[in-house]
Amino acid sequence: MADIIEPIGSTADDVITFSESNGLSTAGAYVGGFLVCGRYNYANTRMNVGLRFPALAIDQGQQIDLAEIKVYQHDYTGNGVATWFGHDVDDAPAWASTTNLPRNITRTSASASVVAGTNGTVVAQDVTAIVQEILDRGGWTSGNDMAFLASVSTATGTGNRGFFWHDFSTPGGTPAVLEVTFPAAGGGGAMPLVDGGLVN
Amino acid sequence: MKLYDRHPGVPHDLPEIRPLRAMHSKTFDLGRGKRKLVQFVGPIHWRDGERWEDIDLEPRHQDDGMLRVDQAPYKLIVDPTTTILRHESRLTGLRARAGIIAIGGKAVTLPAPVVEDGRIRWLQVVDGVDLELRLTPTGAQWLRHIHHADAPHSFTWTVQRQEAFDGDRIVEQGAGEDAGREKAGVTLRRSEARAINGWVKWETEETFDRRVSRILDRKTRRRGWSDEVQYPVVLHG
Repeated sequence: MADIIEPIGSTADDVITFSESNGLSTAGAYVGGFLVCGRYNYANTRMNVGLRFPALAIDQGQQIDLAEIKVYQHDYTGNGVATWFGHDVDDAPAWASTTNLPRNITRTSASASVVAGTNGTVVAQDVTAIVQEILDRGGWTSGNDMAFLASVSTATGTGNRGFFWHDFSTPGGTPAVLEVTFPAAGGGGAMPLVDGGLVN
Repeated sequence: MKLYDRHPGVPHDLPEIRPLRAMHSKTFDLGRGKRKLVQFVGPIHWRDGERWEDIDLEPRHQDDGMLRVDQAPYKLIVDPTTTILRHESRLTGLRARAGIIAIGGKAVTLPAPVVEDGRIRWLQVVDGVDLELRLTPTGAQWLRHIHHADAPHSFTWTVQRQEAFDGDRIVEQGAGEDAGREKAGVTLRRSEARAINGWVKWETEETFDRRVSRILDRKTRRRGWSDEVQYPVVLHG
């Protein structure tokens, strides 16, 4: 039947991909509405997660105090071990089967361990070094897109293994967000408002 | 509730720097010149003229019995007695209508819907079948929940859209130019479209005919079935 879609943006920026194939799934719909970084029982394969944050209003070279990806941990099971990487490009393209799979991206030098928190809570993942490395690229421009990979390295055994997170389109769900904290500019003076728009 | 306000892990008590709003983000003043950017992977704001407003996908009951969503990039009105929805794009102003008219080849009488979490659900429309209209920041999507292998697998829909509906897309899953051909486990039979006064109208019958597999969740020991053995979506115990 007809699905009515507005062309204003995509909810396909958080995806799962398979370790051994070129498949790509948006919305986590194939796994009950979850992003899976680990091993999914029925698919009998390991999965990685790609997150792409569109149109970041951060200037090139901007120093940051902290950058965290916050994910809602529905479940963490077994022995899953995973690592965060950034897509080491100036402007991360949209995910695509075969041509731009999360597992195939050019990875940043900086990385961070994926943290397992308490099930049923939002877990903060420190990706400060990754974000800073991308912002320091000469070609980074405010408004560009930034993408991340959560790559599973260990998920042995049977059954579900690893991290199950909420997807953006999960009804009533808690999608991944990227929070970036900026230091005071120029010795504590107020940061200028550089974006256009109405002052309300 | 607003999409942003639903999120338990983001700041809720910091002063927002409203001029820095964007489609996917909010920015907050931390004091002493520090600020925090909160960026989502999908839209959390919609454009109302020059202002970005919070998206709120909760359907609201109207006095006339309709359900309405209007704090989004689109406006949607749903008749809960028929499932017929009216959709209007804020970008183009163009409109579309769609809804179900038969399940298993028979007309259906709908129960009162359950409205929650940005979705409208009609439970047990016929034995073993639920209908769900899921509202997302970018549009509305129908889901058909088939609870057991003996439940009806065919659904007939009516679709009507303005002829100039080019700015938006009405996507028929697995259909398009391939209407009538079996594809991805779904057979579609689409009637010839009729154009009347600037509108195009047609009916589509979709039949899900994938192989049915019985499955067992090893962790929960729940039993269920799936119409796609590799990626089981539906697991009803």
